[in-house]
Amino acid sequence: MDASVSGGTEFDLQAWMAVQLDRVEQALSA
Amino acid sequence: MRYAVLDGGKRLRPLLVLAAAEAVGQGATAALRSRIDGAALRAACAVELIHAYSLVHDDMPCMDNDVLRRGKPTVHVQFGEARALLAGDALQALAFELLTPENGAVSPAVQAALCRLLARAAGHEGMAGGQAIDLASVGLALTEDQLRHMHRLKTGALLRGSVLMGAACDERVPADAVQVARALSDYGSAIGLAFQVVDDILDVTADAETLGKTAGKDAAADKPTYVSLMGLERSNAYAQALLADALAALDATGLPAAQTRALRALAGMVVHRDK
Repeated sequence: MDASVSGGTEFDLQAWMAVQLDRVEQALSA
Repeated sequence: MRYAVLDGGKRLRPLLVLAAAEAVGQGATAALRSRIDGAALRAACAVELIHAYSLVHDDMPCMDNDVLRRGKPTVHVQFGEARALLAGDALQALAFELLTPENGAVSPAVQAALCRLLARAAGHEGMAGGQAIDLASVGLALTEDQLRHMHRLKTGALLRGSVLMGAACDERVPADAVQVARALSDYGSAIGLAFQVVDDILDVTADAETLGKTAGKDAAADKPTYVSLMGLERSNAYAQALLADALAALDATGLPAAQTRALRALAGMVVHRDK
């Protein structure tokens, strides 16, 4: 898991990317 | 057009747009948050369409003459040169159409800002200008400054533009807007250069299967790269220094660290990626 500590909380980049990429792929496919 | 866009790319530029919009959009009302999100998704797709068009054209025989892209035949190999040229043209037009919806979903001021930023990033003082310098530089011994200038335009401008477009999706103009924009611009410039430095490193250290494109292409074409100019060790150190610059720039935005965590993590991903 690609997580980084930022702003005192652990941030899960992979989880964030999965959500954003899903939005982008859906919009590009439309 | 779909073949060129829907191909499993990294989508780094759209992610930068969305992360920047997230960084500046905190504290907005639910209604404004929804408008920012909508504009950011349009901007994210527009940037990716411009990136896709540039790859289609850059791969053509009159430019870099590449036959493999992301593990698939390039567009001109698959469909012929004329259709590849037109697909690239149409992708570029579609990007700007996407930024200018007629339904009022994006305010006129935000539409204008997004179009201006994208045009600057893609045009003669950005991506296209950088590609022109790149083509004219084959076989020449560039200085480090000249190489940096070329890459600031060729790849850096659209990455930096992605960050600035994300920030421009917020219609509010806070008192510290100039400071934030300048710092985000510095962040975008640093990761833009870092992206190219790492690209040059991977061109000599990774194989074609991992990269999804022809490895060792730059050296074979006698193109100047950071590795050919600085060596592998110094290039790695330079990428790390640029990552530090990017993170320092985020600190300089004055935004709470929790708001910039996606931008922070993306900078790390740019430098530490393996393809």
